[in-house]
Amino acid sequence: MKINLKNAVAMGLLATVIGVTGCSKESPSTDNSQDGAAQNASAPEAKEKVKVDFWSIWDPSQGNGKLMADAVKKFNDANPDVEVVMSGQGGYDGVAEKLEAALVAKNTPVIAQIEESFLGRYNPIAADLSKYMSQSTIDNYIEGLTRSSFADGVFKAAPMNRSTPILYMNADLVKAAGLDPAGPKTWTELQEYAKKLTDPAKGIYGFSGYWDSDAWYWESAVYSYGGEMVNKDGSQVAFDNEKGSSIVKLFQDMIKDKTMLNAYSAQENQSDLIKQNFLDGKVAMDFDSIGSMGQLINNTKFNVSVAYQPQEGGKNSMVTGGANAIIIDKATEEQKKAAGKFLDFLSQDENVVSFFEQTGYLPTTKSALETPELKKWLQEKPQFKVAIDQLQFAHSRPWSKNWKAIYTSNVEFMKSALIDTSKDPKQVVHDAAVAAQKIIDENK
Amino acid sequence: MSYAAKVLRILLLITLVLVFVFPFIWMLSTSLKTYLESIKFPPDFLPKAPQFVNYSKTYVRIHFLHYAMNSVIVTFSIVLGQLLVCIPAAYAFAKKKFRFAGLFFALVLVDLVLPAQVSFVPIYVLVSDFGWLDTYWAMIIPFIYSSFAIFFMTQAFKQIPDELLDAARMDKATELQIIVQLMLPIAKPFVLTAMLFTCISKWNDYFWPLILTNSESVRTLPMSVKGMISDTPGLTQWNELMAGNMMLIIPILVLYIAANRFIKNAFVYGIK
Amino acid sequence: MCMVNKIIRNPYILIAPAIILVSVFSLYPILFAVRVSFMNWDTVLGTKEYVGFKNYINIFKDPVFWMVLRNTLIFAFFTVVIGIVLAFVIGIFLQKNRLSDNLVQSIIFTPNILSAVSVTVMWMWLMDPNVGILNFVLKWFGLPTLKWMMSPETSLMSIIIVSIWKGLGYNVMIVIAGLQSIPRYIYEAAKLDKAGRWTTLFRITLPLLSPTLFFLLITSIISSFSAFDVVSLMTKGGPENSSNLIVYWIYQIGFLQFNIGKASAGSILFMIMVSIIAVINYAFFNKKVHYQ
Repeated sequence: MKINLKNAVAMGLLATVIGVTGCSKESPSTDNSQDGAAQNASAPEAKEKVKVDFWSIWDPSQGNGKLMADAVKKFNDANPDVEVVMSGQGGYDGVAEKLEAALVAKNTPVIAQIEESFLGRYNPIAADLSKYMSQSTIDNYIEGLTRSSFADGVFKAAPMNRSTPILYMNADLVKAAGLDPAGPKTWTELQEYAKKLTDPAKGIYGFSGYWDSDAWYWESAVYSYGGEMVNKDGSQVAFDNEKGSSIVKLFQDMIKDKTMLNAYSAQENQSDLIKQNFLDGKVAMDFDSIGSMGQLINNTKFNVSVAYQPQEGGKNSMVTGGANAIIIDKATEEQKKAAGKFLDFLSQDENVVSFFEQTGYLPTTKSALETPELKKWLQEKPQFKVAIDQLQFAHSRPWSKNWKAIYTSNVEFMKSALIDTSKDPKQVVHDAAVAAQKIIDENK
Repeated sequence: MSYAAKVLRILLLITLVLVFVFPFIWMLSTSLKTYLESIKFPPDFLPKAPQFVNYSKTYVRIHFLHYAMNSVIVTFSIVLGQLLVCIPAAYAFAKKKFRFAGLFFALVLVDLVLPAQVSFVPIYVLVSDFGWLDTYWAMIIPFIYSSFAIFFMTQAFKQIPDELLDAARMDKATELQIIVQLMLPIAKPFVLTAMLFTCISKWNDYFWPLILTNSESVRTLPMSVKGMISDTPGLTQWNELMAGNMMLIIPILVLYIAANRFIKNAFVYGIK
Repeated sequence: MCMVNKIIRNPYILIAPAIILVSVFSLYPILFAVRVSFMNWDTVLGTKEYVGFKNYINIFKDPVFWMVLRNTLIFAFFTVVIGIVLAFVIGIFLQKNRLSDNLVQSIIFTPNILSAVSVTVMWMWLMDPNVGILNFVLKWFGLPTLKWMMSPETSLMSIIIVSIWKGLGYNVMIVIAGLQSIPRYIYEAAKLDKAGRWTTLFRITLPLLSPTLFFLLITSIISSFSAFDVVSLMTKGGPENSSNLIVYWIYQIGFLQFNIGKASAGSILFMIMVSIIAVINYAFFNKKVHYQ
């Protein structure tokens, strides 16, 4: 057997690489210049910085997360004694999953950005924000955005990136059909609008909508019919009635008479499908989130107008969505104070306005609406004004620690009613309610 | 080869290509579309004018170099670690007789039946207790052994006749020489295959790095690419996302093609 | 060198690193899950109490569990059998180092490398009920069209197809690695003995490939039982749990219902079940495997 030079060289290389990577592991956090999140609290200052871990739904290096990371940096620069460390946790579900692991490991962050409806679950570990934020900030939040922020009268969740569903209209088509440009006020009117806007010859559908992955739009519509998701303490399902099934029936009827484009006729991403048809002028009205506004205004050749989400029975009522910030009560008093200061900072006019303008998420404070900059902006893009005004009718989200499981179950049922429009809507909603009640009973 | 067999072969190849080439073309084509083209349904097969600018935009947006560097460090460390841990173990299981060998082998394989979705909470707790969160250690140490690799290489080593080993021992070869100069060259297609799989799965892994790190300084490329998916449905820029995905897979595709040639060229039973 | 040699000769030292790592990062999590499976643990409130076998009993009483179990068995059976047979046939065809073979093999392998998102989007499009290519093909053959992932009748079949498709390149690669390690001289000897092609295939290739196929069988069974991504990305287990598989179901209990006790009990049941199936296979086939 002769000595294999190649193998010897390979083994040598192997050893070298191990040595090299071993060294580079010693200083894992030195090459972070591009992310702005300066770290290593090893600065030889006399006073230790208060480190505030902030778990975000966004990756701090890009998109909305980058805007947030810039705000974090500004705050850290202005407050030398505090260091907020933002980290992305992979979206709403990612934050929830990691919080779960962190609760077991007992190393929770100080601030967590959670989906609005998750406070029902995280309430026991959420701190009373009025102790750590200034009262003027809390009073300054637009009231409609804080309806899901209170637990037993205590303010626990500060609005961050928030949205609400509205009705988008192709204003040119509405005008051509001789309809009131203000748009339909009720769901019945919406059905009439859709009939008049539909033009099979041109392949135009009057309306389209879908439920979203958390059945958010269904939930919203149920409120607009005067319905509820669960009772006050979250122990009973409350949508097993006409109010819960009306919107399903309406959508089914409109699909059957071909005045509504059925997003569930295709498996493709429903939201993209509707949006693309709306942009093409093939769907005249689109029930969608305010978050889509920027894209819809910027990519259309026609005028886009918006209206409140329709209602039935005389009272507007709809959901809001997006994320709120909570401070975890297990953090030290110093950390919680610093975290409160950071949330105060995020709610300063300048930050609220720039975040709104760049992301399309709703402005969160009343004083921001009064700034000349925002006033001018809203004059140029009055469509956003409608969504902000609509917030006065915002409905609180379901108070249940099991809401995540329930909506995951609900959306399957609601989807099935549109995939197969011959299904009895009352039966579908009843089945959904039974399944939801079972989830509640099993996980008390 | 007979005429019929030739035709059959060509038909099979064409069918396979048709069935499997789609997603790749699809990704490539989407990555060159404009945003509006990318959400079109039913989709156009090709973009009207290829938008190479998507790539340069994405390169900047996902901080390609920073994250790719981390991916390289993590993936290569894991592969090296697995070689050092798994080859000796596989050798022992295949060619040594010792007490409780069966029991130990079963223990080593336990990882196969443990899905990540089940084990991540306790592993997070461990890594957190070790103080490894946010370091390369967290992304490397738990993964430098692999039940799959040990099992696979054990099967490969078992196929090498004992007579060869005995002959080498007669020649006064040391154990190290037997492993490095006898076993490894013969089992090369298997070792390469196992390590290629490790490379691919670790390079693309999104789940574990997300769970075990918070800080961007040690995070890897898939996380940055995933970050391009919008939190609001319908706001994702599919064209840029696919450009990001292309940038993610190209290195691994090149590695795969190179390794594949090696595996097929592997000098079978080279020691005479 | 002598010292090194002595150390390496000791099998316990050879396996020590692997054993230590597996104990810490696999065995410990399993023991952890065993303990939690007997608890009612509210992670947010931080309250734990031992409840005996209550979590297990709840699972057995849950009709969804039985449905998911049935789905998993069907899913595993079809993906494993079809996946291995196809891989064997294709592996035989592509084993040469011809350019065309390498190219086709690379193409078959791409689903393993491509991002899950692009694969998902593509299949959603292929299986679209209205404009999807698959329905178009069915129509062309005069067959009734399907709703694929959108109907409870066909959703499980749909994810089986996607899984086989996704895993095939991986299986083929392992088959080819096995084929490559069969010494050429055996084939040459067979040629001298004037063995026919089929005889060579069944008398030489298949027996010599049996350790590889055996390996593939065990790992395929385990990985098909553990399938998660395909469910999570394509159907979320729906419609009406018709495509829900056991690991995804466990995940849902743990991270949608946040019932970590019940999820742990489910995990333990899952691991016992997979181990039993793997051991039966091992006992049954290991004897038939031909080692040189």
